Amino acid sequence: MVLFVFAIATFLSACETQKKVVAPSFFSYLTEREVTPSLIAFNPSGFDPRNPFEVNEESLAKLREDLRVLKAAFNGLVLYEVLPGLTNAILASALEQGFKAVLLGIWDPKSEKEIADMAEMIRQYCEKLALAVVIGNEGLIDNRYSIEDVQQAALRLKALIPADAAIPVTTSEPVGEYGWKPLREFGEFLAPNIHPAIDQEGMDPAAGAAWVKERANALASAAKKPVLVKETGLPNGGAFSYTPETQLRFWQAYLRDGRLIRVNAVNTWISFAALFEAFDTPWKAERTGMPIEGHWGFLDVKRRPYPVFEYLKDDSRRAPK
Amino acid sequence: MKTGYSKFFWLIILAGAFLIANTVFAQNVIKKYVYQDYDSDDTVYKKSNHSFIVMPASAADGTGIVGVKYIDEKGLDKSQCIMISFGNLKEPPRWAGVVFPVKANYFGEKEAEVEKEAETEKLVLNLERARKLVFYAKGENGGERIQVKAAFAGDKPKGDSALFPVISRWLTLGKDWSRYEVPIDNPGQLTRVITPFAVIASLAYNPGGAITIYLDEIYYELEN
Repeated sequence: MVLFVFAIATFLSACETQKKVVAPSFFSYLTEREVTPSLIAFNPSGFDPRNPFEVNEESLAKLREDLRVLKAAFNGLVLYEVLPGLTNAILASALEQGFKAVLLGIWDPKSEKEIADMAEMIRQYCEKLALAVVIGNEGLIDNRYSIEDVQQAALRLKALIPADAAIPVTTSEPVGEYGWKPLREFGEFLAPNIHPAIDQEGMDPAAGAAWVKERANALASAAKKPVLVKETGLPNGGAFSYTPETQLRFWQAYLRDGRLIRVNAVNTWISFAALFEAFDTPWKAERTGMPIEGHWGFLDVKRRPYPVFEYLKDDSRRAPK
Repeated sequence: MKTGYSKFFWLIILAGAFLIANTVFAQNVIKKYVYQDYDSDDTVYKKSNHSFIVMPASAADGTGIVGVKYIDEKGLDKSQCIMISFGNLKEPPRWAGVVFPVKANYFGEKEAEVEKEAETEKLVLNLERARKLVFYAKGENGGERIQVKAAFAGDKPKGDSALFPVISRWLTLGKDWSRYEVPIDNPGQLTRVITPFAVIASLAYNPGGAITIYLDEIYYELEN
């Protein structure tokens, strides 16, 4: 009798285990090296936030083609905001084409609607894609919101998503701002933007790559938290010293030793798996008055690759280091 | 159980204890001045070495973006103070800063300073025991917004020792002098400081694009 009850209990337990879907984990995607993690900062080619993005058959076909081209070198995306229709279409298409992970973004932490839309997106995709959320992007330095707004947004978002979804959350600012303790203390990991082209103007590409890694290491050591360098790179133009060749040399130096390092002294890690960015964005140069801002792409607006894209295609095929 | 002492008695005892603790604590605090007066002895900045670095370089003297002056009789107690004008924050990159390093034009770039290294090393500050950065500030009109940073050349070969800088949140200045404190949350890391004070302004926080601010009595409180 005892054996019979035990057998039934074991059977029921096995059924329960089979029903439970193990959601992909964003941290595992970055650290467990089953694939070479490779996240690309993405807006559709030709996207310009000053004009509304019409979601229709033609634009969706273009979106699918963007992702198809990018899939040759990347298996994850970095997004910056939740746009009605568009973000869902990006995720659906990314899933269809075999992307593994998405670092989602909330542009306005003060927007109840964007937070609710994000929660809906997470509920829809958290069992199919490895997800994390960046709440805000450079909005503290730009005076768009406060750290309290970011903290509140995190609480609101977590209340709206399944308790067992375990989606890591953070915010993102230029690395120099992380001296401020409340910023270092927010979130399960840190996602700084570390740009030698802005903070170390004129630095040689290899020296720039080394500087980015040193700053990431300093941040991980100071904060004792995982760090994903969310944005870095050199532009392919926009100033005399930046060319497609210097862009290539930066990424070669940056990725030469792999995309993950462990910081054993403080028991954490740093990921260099996020790459900036998919396509050139002339609108950014116009909006900021800074020509380099339009030239961060690995492909131009017509999806023509710069030399770095071919290098990244090869690098992503190598076994993870 | 009744003790026989009134609440008033205990209140007096508590107030006394607080006063004694406060006095003891005050005796255990040393001030290390970054700026006191233009010609005072016990300060990093004095007549013989006054210097500052404007960031970014494109906003330096002559562009009208940043101007720095030492002004008589406008400081606290009618002393001298520093006046900084951020004249055109509308120009990219739409922010500017003024750094007060320990030595003229010194930013920890080893190569440029190698021949004067021994002389420079004497000026480097050890702020390991610092608990807060204190300064007084006011704006020309009130409402000016600034951020203060220190020890932020940690990425330079001969820079600051701190992994990450000391940073204030964005402060809104009044028209009259106010005292501001920035807590030091990484004190053990400030063993070598070459950039003890910097002030930043940006267009995002000052949409008018031009502000004038005054600074005085900049010092670190060190535990004795």
